[in-house]
Amino acid sequence: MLDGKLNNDPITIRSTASLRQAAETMDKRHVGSLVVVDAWGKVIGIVTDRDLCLRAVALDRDPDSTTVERCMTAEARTLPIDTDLTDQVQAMRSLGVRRMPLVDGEGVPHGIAAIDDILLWAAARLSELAGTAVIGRRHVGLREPLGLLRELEAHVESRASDAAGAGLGERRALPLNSLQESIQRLREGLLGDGRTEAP
Amino acid sequence: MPGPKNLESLASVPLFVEGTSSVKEAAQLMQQHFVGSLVVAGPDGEPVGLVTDRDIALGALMRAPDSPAPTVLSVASMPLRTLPADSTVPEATGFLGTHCVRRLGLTDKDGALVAILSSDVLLMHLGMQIHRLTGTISREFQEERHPTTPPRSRFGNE
Repeated sequence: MLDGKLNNDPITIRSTASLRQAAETMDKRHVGSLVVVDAWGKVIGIVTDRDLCLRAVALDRDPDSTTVERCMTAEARTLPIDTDLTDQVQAMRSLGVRRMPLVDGEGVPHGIAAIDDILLWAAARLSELAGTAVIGRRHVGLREPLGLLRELEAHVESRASDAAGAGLGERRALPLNSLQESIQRLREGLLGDGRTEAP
Repeated sequence: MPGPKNLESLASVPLFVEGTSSVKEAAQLMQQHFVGSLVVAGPDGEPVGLVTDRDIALGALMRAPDSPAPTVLSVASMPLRTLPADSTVPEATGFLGTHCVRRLGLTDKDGALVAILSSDVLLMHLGMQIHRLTGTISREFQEERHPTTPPRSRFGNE
C-alpha cells in the first residue's frame, strides 16, 4: 500500500476567465492543466492545454471574449482531500484520467492528485530499493564520488610533488596538505562509521 | 531487464504538418488523428521540429490582440531531437531525461525519420516489465508458503 500523500497546491482559474488568461496562467506556472472553479471557489471542471488546442484553437475561438467554461471538461471528477495514494491511483486508473482535484466537504480544492507526481514518487522509491538489489556491494552508490575524490587526490599529490621538486618550500606545501586532509575527511564522511574504501 | 526487440516497435508513425500551416490547421489535424504532436516539415519537406498541442494552445491564445494567428513554425520546438532507431531503451530514457523532452524522433541508417517515440510508451513498457517481475516475486512468496512440490535435496531421496 502506498502511504503518505503528495500535497500539491492546485492551480485554479475562474470559469469566467478568458482563454488568454488560462493560457498565460499555464505558461507562467509551467502547468498543463488548471482546476476551474466557480465564484465560490468550488470545483466545476478542469481545463488542459490540449482542451485549449482542440476546443479553442481548432475552432478559431477568440482568446479574449471566450471564457474558460466553453473549453473545459465540466463536472470534474474529484476525490476527498484525505484520499491516500493507493486510492488516488485506483481512482485515476478506473476513470482513465491523469489528474483529479482533492476537495474538502464544500468542493473547494486543496490539492491535486496527478499521475506525473505519483510517478516521480514511485521512481524515487524504486531507486532506493535498487540500492538493496546488489548483494555485497554496499558502497555501489558511492563509486562515482569516491572515484572523483581519488582523481582529485592524485592531482593534489602530483602538485605537491612538483612543488617540493621545485623547492618551493613549506609555504606552497601547506595549502596542499590542507587540501589532502580535506579530501580524506570527505572520504571518511562518505564511507561513514570508520569504514574503508573497497580496493 | 529485457527490452523490446527495437524501439520502433514502441514508437508511432510520424505525422507531418507544414511549417507554413496555421495553428488552426495543425490543431484540426491533431484532433482528426488523435495525436498530441506533429512533426514540422521545412520547405523541402524535411523534418525541422516538433509542435505539440501545448505549443499550439499557448502560441495561439497568447498572441498580441488583433494580430494574425501564428504559423506552426513560429510556435514549434526546433530542431527535432532524434536517436538512431536501433538505440536501446536506456539510451532513449537517458536522452529524454537529459534533454527534458517527452518525445523524440527515431532515424534509420540513412538518417531519415521513421518514427516518433514518446516517454509515455516507454513508461508503459517499463511498467509492464516491473509488473511481470513483481508477479514472479509474488509467485515465489506463494510457493514458499504453500509449496506445490516437495523441496529437492541434493543428497538424494531421504
